Amino acid sequence: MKKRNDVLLQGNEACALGALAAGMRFYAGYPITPSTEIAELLSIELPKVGGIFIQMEDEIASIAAIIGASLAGAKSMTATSGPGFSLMQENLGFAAMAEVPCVVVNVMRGGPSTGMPTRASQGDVMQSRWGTHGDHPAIVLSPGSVLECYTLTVHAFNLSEKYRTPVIVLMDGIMGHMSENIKIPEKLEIINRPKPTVPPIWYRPYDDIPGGEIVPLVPFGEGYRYHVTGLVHDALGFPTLVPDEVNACLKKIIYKIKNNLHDIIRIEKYLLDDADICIVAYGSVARSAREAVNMARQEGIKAGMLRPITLWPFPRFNLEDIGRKVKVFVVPEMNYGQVYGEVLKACHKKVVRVTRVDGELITPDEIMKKIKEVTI
Amino acid sequence: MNGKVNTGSNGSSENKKNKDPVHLFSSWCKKCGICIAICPKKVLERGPEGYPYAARPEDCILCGMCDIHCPDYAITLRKKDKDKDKDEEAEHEEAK
Amino acid sequence: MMRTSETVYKYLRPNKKFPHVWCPGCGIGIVMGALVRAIDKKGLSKDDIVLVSGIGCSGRMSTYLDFNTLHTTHGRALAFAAGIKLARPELTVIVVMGDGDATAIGGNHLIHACRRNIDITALIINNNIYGMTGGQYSPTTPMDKKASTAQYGNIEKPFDICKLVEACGASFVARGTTYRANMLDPLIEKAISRRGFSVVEAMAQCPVQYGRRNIQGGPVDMLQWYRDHAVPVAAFKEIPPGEAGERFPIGVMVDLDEPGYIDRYKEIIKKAGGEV
Repeated sequence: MKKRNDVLLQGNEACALGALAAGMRFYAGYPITPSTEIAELLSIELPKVGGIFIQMEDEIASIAAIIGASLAGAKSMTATSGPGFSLMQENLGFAAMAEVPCVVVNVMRGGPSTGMPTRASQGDVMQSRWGTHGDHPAIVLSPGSVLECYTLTVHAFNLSEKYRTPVIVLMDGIMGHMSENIKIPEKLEIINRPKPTVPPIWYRPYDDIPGGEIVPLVPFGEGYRYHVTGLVHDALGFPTLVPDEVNACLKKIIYKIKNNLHDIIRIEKYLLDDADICIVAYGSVARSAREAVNMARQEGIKAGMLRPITLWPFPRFNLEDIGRKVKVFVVPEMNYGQVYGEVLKACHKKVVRVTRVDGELITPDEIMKKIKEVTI
Repeated sequence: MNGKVNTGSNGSSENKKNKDPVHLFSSWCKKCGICIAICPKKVLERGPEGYPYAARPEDCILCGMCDIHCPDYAITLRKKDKDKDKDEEAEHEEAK
Repeated sequence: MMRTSETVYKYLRPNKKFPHVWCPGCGIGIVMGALVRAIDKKGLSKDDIVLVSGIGCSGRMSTYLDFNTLHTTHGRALAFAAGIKLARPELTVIVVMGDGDATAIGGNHLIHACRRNIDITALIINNNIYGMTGGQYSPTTPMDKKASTAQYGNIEKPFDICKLVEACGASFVARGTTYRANMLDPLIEKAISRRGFSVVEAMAQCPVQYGRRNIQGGPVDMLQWYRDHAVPVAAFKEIPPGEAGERFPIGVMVDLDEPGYIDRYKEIIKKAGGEV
């Protein structure tokens, strides 16, 4: 692909190029609609920069391979859709537990099960948070434009390296296949894995440093021999069942995210300052919601929109703030109300939802209709 | 093992050379009995607590079968040269 | 004379508690000794070795040895290892799996690792049973043998791991037993030296979960069973068809020394105009 700054790109392509810009040099994946374009483009582009593209035997192997590659020092990624994402859950938990950075892109399609491969959905919001067993951290980003497919993929790698945790880019089928003319940002912040500051004998890969500093993950083969396991482990990485050590291990992986919400959470506010009605929308639906806000404003209804760019950790404190000012929340989403429930939890105001699970995008008119219902 | 010891050219008697050739690290031993059974010369026997011991040390040919088949790395054969020195030291101690 | 124990001590993690977790008489310890001797003989640096293991009794090996070690999820060790090897080809990647780990839950990864001929050494410790979970039958439990989930005898045909991986394209395939522990190390050493995907199947006794249930006696009797039933490949070929009974071949089955995945991927990078 020629290096131009203004290009017509599909969301999937933008995601692939964003990953390359972030320094991703290892991709393993398995074909699945509607995410396959990411793999196809990377199979062309990665060898050009000396990176590895491999098509694995399934999604389980794909995420396993990217965790392995990350342990060997490569920024790595896989992309999939609902059924594949279900298969990845076990090793997603491994990456969270073993604190290995990696990026998983899930281009959501209609579910459950094989569902609707060629139709979009937002049905994996809860799975992206709670899909793998046990209490675990989750960082999930939801792009709302082709440009964001690019920039948020870069951001996903940054967060992943910074917090030593898997990060999920949760796109939907419409986002993945939609084309827009975008200006590829010239300069984006890229966070690379820090080097260890201690000699091998002092290295404790899973140390819980007071103050929340995160121990750098040293790639295999650099003289820091250590153990990595999915079992609950002590500061050196060895399995443990000592209650104090178990507590420390599990608390640490959760609190490294919880204590850094200000750094992780990104939201977009649209005409919220004087709003009575707040629409909470994300992904492709946020585009309809923005239009619905414009329509409402034209009719004199004070509507605004909150768009969680970071879906998990959920921006509940931002919602609490907004909840003090607005009277009603409207949550349109392409599922039966997964984020609706979170909004309900976050604020004690009236919350209504606009749901659609037939594979079609929620239209501005549908949202507008709901806005009118609640204003009467 | 170096050949020096096996040829007995260092002047010590055959018996003394092979005196207790087997080193057992009992805290790692799980008393599985493989070493006892695998020994081609039947040197080892089970002691009262179940641990193996060299009942016929003079028969040991230092083949290492017990060592290589021990799943717990709890048995090994003495390094003859060092042991000889140790034995001599012990003799000195006694003489004093 | 080989000093297994003393060689092993050099490679054990100083901060781990011993004796290890395996039952009295378990064959895995013997195989670990052979692996360490092979690595020691090859003179590889501890820093350059990545030992990846799956789940189960054999999976615990990665905890004890002082290499870069990764204890993965059940059956996925080979997929993790593929990522490590491709991202850092200069490392020697050795994967230790059990029979259930490698051929049941990880069967798909095993056959595709063979097919891709990825430059990894797979050491499959076959004890014909799921030991850690309490003796359930595995894909290599022979017919009619008993297991905690096959109380009336196993009715499923077992895998012949060597034949399986050979058919799938592994470029080095060998089998050994814990009875001939000293034969295991040259096999493992060769496997590590070869390009492409190498498999060594080490038959190892599980006296507690398998032997006890199938009246094979203790560890000693099981070793003797290996002595009586393991036949060198050349001699095994002489046995008339149908007369082998429970006997099985040991030794090197396949030794192709073909270019592996990494060599071929380097060609791809060249074709794409990238720098290797």
